[in-house]
Amino acid sequence: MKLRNGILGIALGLMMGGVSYSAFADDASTFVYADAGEPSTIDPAKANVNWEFTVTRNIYDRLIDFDLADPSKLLPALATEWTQDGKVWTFKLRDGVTFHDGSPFDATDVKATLDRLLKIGQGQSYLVDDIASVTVVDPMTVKIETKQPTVFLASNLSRIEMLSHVDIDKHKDDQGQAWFNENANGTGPYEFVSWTRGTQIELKRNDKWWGKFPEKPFDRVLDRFVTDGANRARGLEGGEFDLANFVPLDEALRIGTSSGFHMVEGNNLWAWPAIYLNMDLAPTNNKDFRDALVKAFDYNAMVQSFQGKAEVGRGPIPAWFPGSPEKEEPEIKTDLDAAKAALAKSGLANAKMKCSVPAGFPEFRFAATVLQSSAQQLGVTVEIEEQPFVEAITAIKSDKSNCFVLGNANLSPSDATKFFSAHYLKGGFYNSGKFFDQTLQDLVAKLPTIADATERGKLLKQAADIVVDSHYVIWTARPKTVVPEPDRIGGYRIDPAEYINARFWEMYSK
Amino acid sequence: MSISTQPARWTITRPKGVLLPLALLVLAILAAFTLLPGVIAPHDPIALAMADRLKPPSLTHIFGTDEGGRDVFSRIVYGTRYSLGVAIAIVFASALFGVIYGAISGMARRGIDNLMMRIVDLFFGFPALVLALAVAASIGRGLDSVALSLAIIWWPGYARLVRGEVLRLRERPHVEAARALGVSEMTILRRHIIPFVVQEVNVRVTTDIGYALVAVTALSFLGLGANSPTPEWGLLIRDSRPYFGSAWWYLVFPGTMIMLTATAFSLIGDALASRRAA
Repeated sequence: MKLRNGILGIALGLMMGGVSYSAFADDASTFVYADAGEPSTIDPAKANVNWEFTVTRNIYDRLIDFDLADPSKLLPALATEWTQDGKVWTFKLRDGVTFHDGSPFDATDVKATLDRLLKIGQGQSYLVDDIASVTVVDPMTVKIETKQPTVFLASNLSRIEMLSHVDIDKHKDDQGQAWFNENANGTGPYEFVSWTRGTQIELKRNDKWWGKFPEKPFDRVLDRFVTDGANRARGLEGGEFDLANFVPLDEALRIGTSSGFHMVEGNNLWAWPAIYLNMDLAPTNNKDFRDALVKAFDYNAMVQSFQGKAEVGRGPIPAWFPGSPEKEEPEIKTDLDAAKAALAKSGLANAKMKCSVPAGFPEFRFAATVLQSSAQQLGVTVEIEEQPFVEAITAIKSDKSNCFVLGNANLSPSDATKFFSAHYLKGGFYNSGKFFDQTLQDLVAKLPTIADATERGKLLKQAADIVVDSHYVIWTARPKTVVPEPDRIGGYRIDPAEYINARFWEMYSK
Repeated sequence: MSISTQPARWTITRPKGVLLPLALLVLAILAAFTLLPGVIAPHDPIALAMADRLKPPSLTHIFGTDEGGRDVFSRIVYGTRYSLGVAIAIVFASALFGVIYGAISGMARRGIDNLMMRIVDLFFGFPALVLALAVAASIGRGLDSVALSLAIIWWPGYARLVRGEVLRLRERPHVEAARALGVSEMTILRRHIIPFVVQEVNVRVTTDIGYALVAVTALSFLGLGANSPTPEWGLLIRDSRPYFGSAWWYLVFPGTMIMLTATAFSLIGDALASRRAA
C-alpha cells in the first residue's frame, strides 16, 4: 500500500511539474532567462559580474549607448547631446524621463550617481576614475571635468547606470550600499519586482520607458540562477528557459542547429582562455622560460576545441576592438623547435610548475590541459589545480601557483586602455601574475589624453608590444560566442564589449 | 556441544546463479586494468588528439573519445588504479585502525571503553559524506586528501563492529578457559579473539570497497579529488557533463564502470557473508 501511494505521489508530482512547465512554455508574455549565477548585489556601483549586470543593465539607463555593430559609434540615451572642450564635457539630458517610482530624472541624479560611484570606488568605477568633478549647470545640463583631457569619457559612461538622487540622499549613511544591494529604482526598460534568494529575480516591463520596445515585448522577466552550464543547456533545449548564458560551446552548437532554434554569433570578452604566467615565481619568472611556453603551446588544439569557431590572438587587444593594433602584430603560432631553443636558453629543462584554473569553465580547464600537454613535449611538468575563482586567483597572487587561466575584462566599448588597467598595470585586480613595466604604465596614462587617433594608435601598439614581448600571457584562442536562440523568440544581440548579457528590452516573442 | 577454537576457513563455494561469477569476472577485469593498463589500453590516456575530438564509440575507440580526442576506454583502464586503488587504500587503512581501536575498546575497562565509544559516536553524529566534504575541503584538493578524509569517516564503523565482536567473544568459553589458564589478555586478544573478528571484518571490507569507490568518485565529481588530466572515474564524469547532450558515451561508460565495480564488490561481500552465516 505504502509503495503504491509512493508511486502515485511521484506520478502526481511529475504531472504537476509538467503542468507548471507547460504554463511557462505557453506564457508568451514571460521571458525566462537562465543566468550563470546569483548576484551578490544589484547595486550598479558595485556590480561586477555578468549575472549582476543582467539585472542592472535592464533596470537602469546610462547617459550614452553605443552601436553594437560598431562600438566606436556612440548613441544617445539619457543624454541626447554631448561636447568635449579639453577637460570639460557637457551633457544635455533627455527631458521627461522618470524613475520607476515616478520621480523625474535630471542633472542632480547624474551628479549624485557619479559622486557616489567614485566614493565607493568599486565595480565599474575604474571606467570613470579620471573624473575630477561633476557640476549641475541646470536641471537638464551637467558638466563633467576630468583630471586630464580624455577622449574616452563618453564611451566609458555607456556602462555607468544612473540612480535617483532621492534614493541616494535617503540612504546616505552607508552610501546607500545596504539599500541598493537588494533594491532598485531606475529609469530603465524593466522594473525590479522581487528577489527570491537562491531562485530568481523577477522584473516587469516599464511601459513608461522613454525608449522603444519591439512589437510583442515581454511583460515579465524571470532571471533564474542556474549555476550549472549543462543544466542551462538542458533547460533551454527543453523549453524551460527562453535563453541562457554561458551555454558550453558544443551544446550551443548542437542546440543552435537543432529544430526550433537558430544561432546568434558574435564576439565577447568573457570566453577568452588567456593563461597568465607568474612573473615573480620560478620557473615562470624567467622570460626565456615563458617564451618557451608561449611557443610550445598548441594553438590549433584550442581552435579545434572550439570547433574552428575561434582565432589565435596576437596581443592583448582583439582585432575587432576599435583602434586595435592587432593586425600589425606578428602571428603567434606553435613552434616547437623555437620553444626548445628558448627553454635551453633559460636553463630550466625538466622544470615543474603549477597552474590554477577557476572551476566551472570547461574552456579554461581545457586551455590548461593543452598547456600541460604542450609543456610535456619540452619536458616541463605542469600540475593543474581547479579551484573556486577566489582561491585560484589568490593562489597565483600569493605565489603558490605559476599560472592562472582567465578571460579578459574590458567593459568599455572603445577605450582600449581598460584592457591594460585591470590586467597589466600595477594593482590591477586581474593582474594576477604581477606584471609591471613602467613604460607601459606611462603609456596607458598618456593614451586617453591623445586626441589624434593615428598618434593614439601608435602608442597603443607600443603598449601592446610591451605585453607581447614580455611573454606574460598565452592568448590561447579567441572563440566566437555562440548563443542558441529559440525560433519562438527574437531580438537577442551579443554585446561585443561585454560579457554575454541579454538586453531584455530588445527581446520579443514571435 | 563442541566449541571451535579455530576460525572457519574462507572459501567461496560454487555460487548459485550467475551473479557471483559475473562479479568475479568484473573483479578479474579490474585486476587486469590495474596491473596491466599499458597492455590493455589501446591509446595514450593523456595525450591530446584533437582530430578525434568527441568521436562516438567505434572499432578504433570502443567507448568513444573525450573533448581532447582521448580514448575514453583507455582513460577508464588507466583510471582504475586511481579510483579503485584509493578506495581499497581507504578501506584497508580504516579497517586496520578500526580493528585496533575497537579491540582495545572492547578489552578495556568500562570507563575507557565508554570514552572511546563516545568518540566513535561523535563521528556517527555527522552525515558521513558531509563530514568527508568538510574535511577534504579544509585539507585541500587532491586524491590524497580525498583518501584521508574518507578514511577519517570510515574507521568508526570498523571500531564499533570489532568492539561488539570482542565483547561477544570475550565471554565465550574458550576465551574464559584461556583466561583461567593464566593466558595474558594480549595473547587472548591476539590468538582467540582477533582471528574470529577478522572474518567479520573481511566481509565488511569487501562490501565497503564498493561503497568507498562510490564515495571517492563522488568527491572527485564534486571537484575535491583528482585534478585534470588524471583519468580518475569521478573526474571523467565531472569533465563529461558539459558534453552530455552531444557525447553521451563520455558520461555513460565511466558511470557504468563505477556501477559495475560497486555492484561486484557488494555481491562478493554478500557471498562471503552468506558463507560466513552458513
